[in-house]
Amino acid sequence: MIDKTSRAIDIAEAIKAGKVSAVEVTQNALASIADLDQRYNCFTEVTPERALKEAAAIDRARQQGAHLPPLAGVPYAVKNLFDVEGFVTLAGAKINASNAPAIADAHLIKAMQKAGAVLLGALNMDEYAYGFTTENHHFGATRNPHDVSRSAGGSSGGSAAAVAAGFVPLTLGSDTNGSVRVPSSMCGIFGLKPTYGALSLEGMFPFVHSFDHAGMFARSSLDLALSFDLLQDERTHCLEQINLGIAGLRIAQAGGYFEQCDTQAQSAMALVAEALQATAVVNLPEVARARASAYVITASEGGNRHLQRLQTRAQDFDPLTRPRLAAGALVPAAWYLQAQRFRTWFHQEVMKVFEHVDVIIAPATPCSAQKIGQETMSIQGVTMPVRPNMGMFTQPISFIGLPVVAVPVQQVGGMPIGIQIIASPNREDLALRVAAYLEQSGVCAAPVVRN
Amino acid sequence: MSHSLFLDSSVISLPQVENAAHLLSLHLIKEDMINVHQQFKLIASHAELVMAFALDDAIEPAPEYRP
Repeated sequence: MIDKTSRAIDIAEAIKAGKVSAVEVTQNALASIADLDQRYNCFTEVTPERALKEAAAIDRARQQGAHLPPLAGVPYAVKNLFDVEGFVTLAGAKINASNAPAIADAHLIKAMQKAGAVLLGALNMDEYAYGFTTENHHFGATRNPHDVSRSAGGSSGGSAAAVAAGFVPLTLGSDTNGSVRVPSSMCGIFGLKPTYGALSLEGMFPFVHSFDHAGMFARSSLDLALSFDLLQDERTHCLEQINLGIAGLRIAQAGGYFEQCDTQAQSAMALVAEALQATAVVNLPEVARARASAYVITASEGGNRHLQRLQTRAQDFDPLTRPRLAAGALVPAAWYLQAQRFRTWFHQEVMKVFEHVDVIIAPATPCSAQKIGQETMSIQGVTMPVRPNMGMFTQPISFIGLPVVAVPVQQVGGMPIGIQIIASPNREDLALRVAAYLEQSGVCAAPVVRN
Repeated sequence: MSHSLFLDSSVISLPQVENAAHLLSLHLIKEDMINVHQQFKLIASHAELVMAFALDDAIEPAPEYRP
């Protein structure tokens, strides 16, 4: 039976087998969004006409005996920085609302359409992707389906919450400093941030050239593997290898810097490490400096990108992003270049670590989702601002473009929290294998939640 | 050969940030400029860590490529 908890792969199989029609699946998904999204505020645009047209085409193809593609009839949605033909690409910004509608779909939407998936709409985010909480003053905050008083994480908060709430089994987002992994952790779902450059960014509103990645969210590692292979035009074969298990893999815990987390994150790490028998600990060199460098580069490239808009329409920016982007525009070239040089050094050093391990596990966030509007949090007795520090464990990893699967650990009576499964460049297959093993062993799960 | 560079973010003043903003034709209201000053000092505190690290002269900035 197909329902809100079904995986993408199962929905496609049911449609191929004629157990349910693509139009029926689409109508059910649209109905649940219409009924419930006002509670979570995931969607900024729903595209029912397009969705029903795409679904009807799948049903027609099946009736005609055509071979159906792997994601036939699977509903999905995208962060609103992806171009969707005929709609304005908001990128979370009021300023963009006056832009002309996109004249074509983003490359990855075209790839999803080729794979048979059905686009249901565009999803909320932090303005211009500069944030970890999706507290958007123009379009409202996205609320966490586990607890609506809490943040869904960001910047792809709408993408994560839509999957956690069971509106769709798959969404696309972007990750510059943690914008797939942080909301995955907050909303208790699986997220994949592939290797830098693995997925095309064509037709996506940019943020930070040096770190921008496309990524995806799902409630199962299998769906991540399937969609990643498809979005790569099947240059990878992660799905074929996903059930190979963890035998022979050298898995280590990240120590040092990554131990600065609360007790819940520590418990989740211990649980995952035990399941993987990952007793070895590796200390990546100069991680705090890597995070600091990512911070400087992000500020500088982000500020420069929006300088003209800051000069002419400063008051139209979200008050949370305006001062950050303006300050970033002022960063001296010496800081920026030194950070980029450090990036070269850090990449070389981390590659040496991967000569001895295949996979590294680390918390995705220092704690679980905090209250919407909360300014500070306390981690091991240290008070720090919530918004910039939710990404303290993700930033050093995307800084050098490593592939990561964020896996969810659900805690009884508490909020979920994510663990990063980090692999060396272009080894998404290993991270996905580990994620699948944790899912099959019951350590990680992503149930639909509609609190 | 290695070198590290000293930077002290604590001495960055509001007028300095205002001047830098004016050089870029960024004219913000006073309240915004105070927030920009705070954010700039935060970036500078990260830059302190970056600039303090001795890097060999042979290390070039990370390569850029477009996916």
